[in-house]
Parts: sequence; C-alpha cells; structure tokens
Amino acid sequence: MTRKLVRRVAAPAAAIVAALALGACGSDDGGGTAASSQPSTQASTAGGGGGGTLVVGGWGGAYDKATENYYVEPSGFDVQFVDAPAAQVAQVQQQKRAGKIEWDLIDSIAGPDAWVLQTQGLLEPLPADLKAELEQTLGEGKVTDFGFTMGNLSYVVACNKDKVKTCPKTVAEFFDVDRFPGTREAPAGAPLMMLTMAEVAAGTPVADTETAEPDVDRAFDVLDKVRDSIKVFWESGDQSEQVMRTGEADIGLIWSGRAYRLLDEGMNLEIAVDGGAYEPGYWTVVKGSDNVDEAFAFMKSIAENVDGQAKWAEEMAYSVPNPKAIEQLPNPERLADHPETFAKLAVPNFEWYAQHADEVNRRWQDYMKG
Amino acid sequence: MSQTATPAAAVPSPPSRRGGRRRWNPTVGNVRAFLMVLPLLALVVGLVLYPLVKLTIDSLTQDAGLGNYADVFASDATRKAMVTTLLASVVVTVITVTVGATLAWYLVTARSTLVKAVLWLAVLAPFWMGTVVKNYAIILLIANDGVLNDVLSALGLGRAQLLYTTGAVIMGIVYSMVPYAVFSLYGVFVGIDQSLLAAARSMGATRARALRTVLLPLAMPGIVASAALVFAISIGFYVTPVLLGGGQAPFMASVISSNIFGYYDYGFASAASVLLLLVAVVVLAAALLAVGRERLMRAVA
Repeated sequence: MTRKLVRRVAAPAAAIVAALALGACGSDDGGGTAASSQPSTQASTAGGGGGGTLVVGGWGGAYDKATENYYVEPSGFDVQFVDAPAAQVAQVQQQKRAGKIEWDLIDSIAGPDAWVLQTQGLLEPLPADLKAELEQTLGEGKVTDFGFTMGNLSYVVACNKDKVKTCPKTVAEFFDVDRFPGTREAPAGAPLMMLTMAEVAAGTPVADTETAEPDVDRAFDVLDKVRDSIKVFWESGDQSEQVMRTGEADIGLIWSGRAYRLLDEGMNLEIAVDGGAYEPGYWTVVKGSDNVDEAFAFMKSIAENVDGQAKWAEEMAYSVPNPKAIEQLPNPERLADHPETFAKLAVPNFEWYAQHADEVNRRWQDYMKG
Repeated sequence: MSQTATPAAAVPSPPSRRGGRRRWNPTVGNVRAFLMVLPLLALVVGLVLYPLVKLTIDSLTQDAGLGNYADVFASDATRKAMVTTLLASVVVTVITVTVGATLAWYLVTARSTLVKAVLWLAVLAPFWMGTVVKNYAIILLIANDGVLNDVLSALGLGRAQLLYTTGAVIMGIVYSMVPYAVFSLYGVFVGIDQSLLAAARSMGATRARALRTVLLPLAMPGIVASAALVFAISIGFYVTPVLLGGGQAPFMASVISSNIFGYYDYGFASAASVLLLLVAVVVLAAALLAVGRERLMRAVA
C-alpha cells in the first residue's frame, strides 16, 4: 500500500522536476533579457592622455563606437566601455551592494533612470565651479546637479497621410480619438513620458510640466480614452518603425529620430512635435568612483567638443546639448535641443517621478496590460 | 514504465565459466552510482535549487516583504498576465501535442523515404532557426501587409489584425515547441509494436478505432510527459510575446522582466516569479497525478 503510494507520487514528482529543470535551462526563447543584461566587457583604448583608465557604463554597439570616435579619441583619455543597455540602474545598485563601484561614468543614462540613482544618492554631484562652467557652455537647461544631457530625444506623432484623412497637428490631438480616428501605437516602457503628454493634453502648458505636480487621475482619464485605438505598445525603436511600415498602426507616438528616418525613407508622413515629451540622457559620474576628478575632466572635454557633438548627433540622430553643435547640422530643427523645437516640448517632472515611481509604473502596467 | 522494468539485481547471475574473472555486470553499486550522478547533482543544486531558494527569500524580504505578494495580487496587469499565460500555455500544449503526435506518427509509419525526409526537415527547420528569425518569419506572414492578409483582402474579406494579438503569440510559441513534442513522441511511438495495430485491424477494428483503443492507451504516458514538457517551457516564453504580442501582451515573463529591468521593483518581480512557479507546479502535479492514478488503476484491472 505504502509502496504503491510512493510510486504513485514519486513518478509524477520526478517528471515535474525534470520538466521544470528543462524549462529553466532548455528554452532559448525564455531568457532573452537575462542574457542581454549581462554586461560584456568591450575594452577599447584611446591615445595617451590622463593617468588611469576610465570605465564607462555604455549602450554597446554603434552607440559606444560613436562616443569613442567623436568624444574619447579627441579627448586623449583612456576609456573602457562596459555595456549595460537600459540596465544601468540595476548595475550600479548591484555594484553598490557588492561594496565595489566599478564604473566611473555613465554614458547617456535615460532621464528617469538618472533621477532614480540621484534620489538614492548614487551619483557624484558636480563641483560648483564646473557646474557654472558647463552652464556657460551648454545653457542652464542642459545641466543638472549631477551631470549634463546627451543623446536627448523627443516623443513625436508620426501620421501616415496615405491612410489617415486628418492627421493630428499636435501631440495632444493624438489623444483625441473622436476628431482624429485611426489605429495608433505608443511606447510600452515610458510611463512618465506618456503621463507628461497626457498632462499637456489635459491642459497643462508645456512650460509648466517640469515643475507642476502631475494630476495622475486626470492624466489616466486622458489615456483611457485612447486605449482602444492603441493597437501596439512598442518595446523597441525598431519595432516602432516596423509597425508604421507594415501599417499595423497609422498614427505613431514614437521617437523623433525614428519618425524622421521613416520620412527620409519616403513614407508619406506628417510629423507633429508640439506637446511632445522631452527625454534627456545624462553623462554623469558614479558616486564612489576612484577617478572622480579625471571623470569630470573627461565630461568637460565632451561638453566643449562642438565638432564632435555635431558629428555624433548626425550619426546617431539623437540630440546633443551644445547649441553651437546643433547649428552646424543640416536639419537642426529635427533635434530636440534646437531652441524652436525645445520650446514646443514638455519636460517631465523627474523629481516628482523619483518619489512616485512605483505608483505610476504599476498603474501604467495595469493600463497597458490589464 | 515502472511496472515492466525488472530490477537487474534480482536476477541471479549464472556462475562464471572462467573462475577468477568476474563477469561484466551492467548494474552499479549504490556508492559508485552516487558518485557518478554527483556532478549533475551539484549542477542542479547550484543552478536550479540555490537560485530558487534565493528568489523565494528575496520575495519575502526585499522591498515590501510579504507585502510584495499583496502588491502582485492587487495588480490587474499581473493577475491578467497569470491567467493569460496559463490559458495560452494550455492551448499551446493541446495544439503542439496534437500536431506533434500526428507528425511523429507519420515519421514512424511512413514508407516513402522522401516523405520522411521532407517531414524531418519541416520539424527540424524551426528547431535550428534562431528565436528572432522564427518570430520575424511569422510577422512577415501575418502583418497587416503580410501574405495572409493579402490573401484575405483578395478574397474580399478585408484585412484583419492578426499581429500583436494573443493568437499571434500562441501561434509563435506552437511553432517553436512542435519540434520538442515530435522528438519526445517519436521515441514513444517507435517503441510501440505496430503488429498490435495490424492485429486489431485484422479483428475488424476500423483504423480510427485501432488507433484510439490500441495505440492511444499505450502511448498515453509518453503523451502526458511530452505535454508536461511543452507546458513547462511555454509558460516562460519572453521574446515571442514581445515580438508578436507587443508591449500590451499580458504574459508573465514580460511582466517580470519589465519590473526588474524597467522599473527596478525586485520585490514585486520575485514575488510574481515565485507565484508563477507555484501555479505551474500545481498545474503539472495535478495533471500528472491524474494520469498516474489512471495508469495504476489500469495496472490493477
């Protein structure tokens, strides 16, 4: 009797363990993010310059290459990149827990992420004199207590004129489904940006979004009205372009660089910038770095490198902080930091978000997937 | 299987003809057997058991502690993702095992070498392709301007949204999982004596009846094992829901991933992972116990 029972339970139990172990190890489809978040060390050295090597948490691929060609090489600093695309916060937190900060700098960490680290005290504040100098070179809006902007982008509306009769003229009109019917796509991983654009649609002037406390309920009312028309929440820039190309959606709330690329490819697009959200990245120094002075000196060299920033922006289609660099470009108004463009954009309230991230992020996920 | 296996140790080995030399014996002593599986055991402990224990502890101690679980239950997105992931995995399992069993049966019984070669190629091709390639192939087929919609439109049925739906995700997972089902079921079917089917037919059973009353009971344990494998792998799919379902697709792997990498909410993510694992174990245990009991009753009868 007992033996039978043991057998009855043991065989299925063994099968479950085996199946789960296989599921955990065998599925190539299962572990995409885990694999990509694992930083692969890519050493690259530039000519002589300073003393020690500066370690930069970077984005990998073409991004690191452009940074190396246009910022590192002219500076003469010895820089090594460690890739952690979109996982910089997790990496720095882990280094802090392990008790050893391995990175000196972070390249273009996304605004919301930078403010998360800043709130947790993991970023080195800029020395007062350097901050004043940087503000002189770049302009006040481009400099914070912990760094300056780089790789900045905006969210704009790209509307397929072949499919849509009346295209939205502003980003606020993206949320007006009655007057502007059509299938839509929106970013999956940018709750703060969506909240900011919904705020503008609900009546907050773009000049006030950076400091005004968002009315979350009101913003989600705006978002609720457009939810059924959003056919795709895109997870990557490539996906956002592909959705427009295949016609899966005809009105896309996408990154400016992607919208202009589709336009240049020959798509019949109308692009609305007014009321879009501005998302800066930041060059910043990690608190606990052994090379703080050198790291800040390297950052200063980037801020002052006008030609380098112009070439970098032309290659990457992301915006740069130095106004002189933007003037050199063929289509300067396409970049988020061009004064006329910047005036139309809503800067999110990052400080507020850093305090309310869990609340906003969870509500966003319920909105998107619920 | 257990009722047919005869423990080799119980069979008394005949005395060796050449006195001094011991005959080779396929069974291994307990100590040696333990030493032989030790490396595997170490791997399982290090790479499966330790992370699972750590994950469970983290889910109870990090961020909100026990409140992590309350947060997970309070989240519409996570509840919906849990239900969708499990239902979709059940649907995937049923389709995959049905298709896999059919293919495996033809692979065992087909006489034509050409047919076998073509079938094997069809089974192996998705197995050899990378995840992203597989998913993009499906995008090309079912996109708004894809082949399938072109056909629908030419037939005057208009274009339908096929991509970025739960159906598309299910299709993608099935495509990836069919080889797993075929491999495991091929082994099962090869081991079944086909003359039993011939005997059933000679006694007047129709082809369908012979398959149902002779083949199916013999293959059932293998089919259930194959289904358990497919189900366990399906619940963890991450890339396919993102590429074919979009960000709105409510699947647990993407909820967990975005809470780790997008929102740095480790407590929430680990609690969600533990719950997914628990639910999966319960579902699998229920399915296997049910079959275990049935097998036992058949053995008694």
